[in-house]
Amino acid sequence: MNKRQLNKSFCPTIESGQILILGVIVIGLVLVNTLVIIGGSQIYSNNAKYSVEETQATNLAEAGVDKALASLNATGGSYNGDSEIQLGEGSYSVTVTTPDVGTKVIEATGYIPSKAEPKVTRTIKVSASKGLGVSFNYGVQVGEGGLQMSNGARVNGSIYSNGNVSMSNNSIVTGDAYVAGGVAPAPDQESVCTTPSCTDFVFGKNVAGNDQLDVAQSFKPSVSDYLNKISLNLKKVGSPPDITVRITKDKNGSPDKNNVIASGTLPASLVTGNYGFVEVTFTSSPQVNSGNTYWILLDTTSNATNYWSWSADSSQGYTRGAAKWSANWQATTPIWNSTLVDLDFKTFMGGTRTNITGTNGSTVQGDAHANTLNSLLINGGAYYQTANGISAGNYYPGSADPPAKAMPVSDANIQAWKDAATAAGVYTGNISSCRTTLGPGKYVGNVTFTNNCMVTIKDPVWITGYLNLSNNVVLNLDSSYGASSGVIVVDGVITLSNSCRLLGSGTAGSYLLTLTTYDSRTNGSTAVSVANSGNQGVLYAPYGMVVISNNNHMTELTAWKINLSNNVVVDYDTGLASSFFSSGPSGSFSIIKGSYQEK
Amino acid sequence: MKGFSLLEVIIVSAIGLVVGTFLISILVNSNGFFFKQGAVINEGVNINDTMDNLTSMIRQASAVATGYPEATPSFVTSSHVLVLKLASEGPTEIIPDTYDYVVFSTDPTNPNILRMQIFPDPQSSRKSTNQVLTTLLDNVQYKFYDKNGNQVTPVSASVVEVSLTVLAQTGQVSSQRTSKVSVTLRNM
Repeated sequence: MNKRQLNKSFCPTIESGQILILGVIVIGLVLVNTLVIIGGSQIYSNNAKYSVEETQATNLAEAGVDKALASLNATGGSYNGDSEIQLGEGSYSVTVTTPDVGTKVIEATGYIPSKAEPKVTRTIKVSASKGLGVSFNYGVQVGEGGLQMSNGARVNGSIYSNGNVSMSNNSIVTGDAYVAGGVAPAPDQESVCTTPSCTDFVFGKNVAGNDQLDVAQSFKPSVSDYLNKISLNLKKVGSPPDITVRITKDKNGSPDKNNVIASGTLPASLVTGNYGFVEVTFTSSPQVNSGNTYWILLDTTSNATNYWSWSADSSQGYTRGAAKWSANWQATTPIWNSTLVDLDFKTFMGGTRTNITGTNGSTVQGDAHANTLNSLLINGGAYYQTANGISAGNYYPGSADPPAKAMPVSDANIQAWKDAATAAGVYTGNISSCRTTLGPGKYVGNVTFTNNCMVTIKDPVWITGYLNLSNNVVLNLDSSYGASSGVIVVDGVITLSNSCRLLGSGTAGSYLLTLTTYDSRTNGSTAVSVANSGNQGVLYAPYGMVVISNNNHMTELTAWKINLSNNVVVDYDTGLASSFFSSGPSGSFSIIKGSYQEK
Repeated sequence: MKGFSLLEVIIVSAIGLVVGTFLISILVNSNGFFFKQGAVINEGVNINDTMDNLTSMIRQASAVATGYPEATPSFVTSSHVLVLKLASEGPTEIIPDTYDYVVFSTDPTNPNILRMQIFPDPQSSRKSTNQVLTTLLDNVQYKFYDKNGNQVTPVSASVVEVSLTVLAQTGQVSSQRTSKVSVTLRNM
């Protein structure tokens, strides 16, 4: 018997072969692959679920911010937060702190699924305030009166003027210089209601079943020229966002959506709860032809609590146009309905050819933009249509005239500050002796401080007479303002002499704006006079002439007309581009732009 | 000694061949499925994490910058590069008029790598970062819109649309996934 027969006799069931081993190995590999895939799928599923939950938590936190804003407005600012509010598949909590007057810091956290056992949390922090944000974007901004610089006057920053700029005797602008195409002083077309025909046209919400979201007023220019700016008589309810304003051609008696010839932005911050004319300028001034019909079109979205009202003439006295509204001006076939009123508006066409003229070494170190440039040294580019005797880094002939620029503070804003000052208290009688604090309130009379007087300001302060400061007087905002700014409104003339200073709270970004409504256009007198060196501040005179001389050092100037001489320096502070006035109009809390943070 | 007959060898070989072919086929298919699903999982995790980073930064941005540094840019915002300007963070609150820059761009040496680089202002408490978001980038595209949905230049944008495509490839096996999202700049 051989070995094989012997094995078979003792172990009749043993068989030779390797397929089973191979099979086991392969099945093992397949099982491992399957388990790894299942594990990976689990990871992917958890990761995808986490991503969704992150988004949900972020949305919950933003809901918390919205809730906080609504509650602050409903309670007049006394809302302090909520520990936890359930919403959908998660919850949110809110804390509110008050770092300074007029500012609230809101921190909202979203939780999935709950605060007690969160799998995902997201925190959003914003600052909110009940005030007015104003952008002073230029070292010097001038109206139609123009700017004169002489005898070493210097602007460290850029200038923007709606009137001519004259520079002589080594005057310098270190940034860019813009002179807008001339604007005619009187409106070409206008419709202004008179009592008792004045009524309201509400838009930006549903009114009696109609979505009155887009509204337009037509007009026919009497001359062919550039339309440099328009003015609209508006008020707002709540806090609607900025409006895009467009100029369109006419098509069959309605705005032609395919022929928009200009657009600009109407900042909501310039409009208050009371009617006031607000200027709108365009990114480029459109050319309009006499006798043709054009439309001023305002485009809004629907919001039941934040909307607009346009002052209207129910007698429809304007014969060169009409007003219409639509639910959607960009629909395939937009439907325009008559408003049965004329909406209050003014149009301002181009005027004279404006220029920057320089003599005796006057220099613009940045770019210069104007219709005409004369005898100027320009380190950057020269943008012009006519040039005489200039020397520039680069030349750009045939450049379009810069558009006119609206003032950064509207009449409605100023009136709202006055109303707030009146509400804070009215004090009658001239003030001529030093005191430690001033404001808030309305002061009926003149205010004079002299001889090292230091006064802490709580705004708004409204002085119905003149403001006269001399000999080292310092007016500074209370330190509780933090980074917020404040305002003094003066009806009369402002005079600063001998090292007087107008200062913010001491925190970066805080300014004390001193503003006069004195009208130099009618009587030619100076609205603001700053002399005899060492004076400092931010001055604003929308209808006034500001004259500054003799080694004074200002932070920013905005006025109808400005005269700088004798080594005056305007040292522009970039923080003015986002200054914030806690005592501003509108009266509702809103998020301070730029404060949104995710933690 | 008796061995295997020729017929037995042939039959066994034939059976072994058939069974072995099935087994190898199962193994190959299983491996192919494993690599593909692994690629899908990898892509999914990558794209989720990348989008989370992008959307968070866009939400917090004050503006889309033309480039970084703004004066002489090494990175220029385009349809494939995104430069964001974020307010710098101090110890307790935002530092006014001071900005950090965040750049999303492909690696210059490897176009499949998407990087996020943070260039903080010296005063900012935000940390400088150079982070790889994904190594599977196939394509990224940015589009810029205003609040009315009109396409505008990057610096005027208040909404950024991001379209991100990742591609995982192993040998002949590949898988592609695209995600698109529109994000509003909350600080614009």
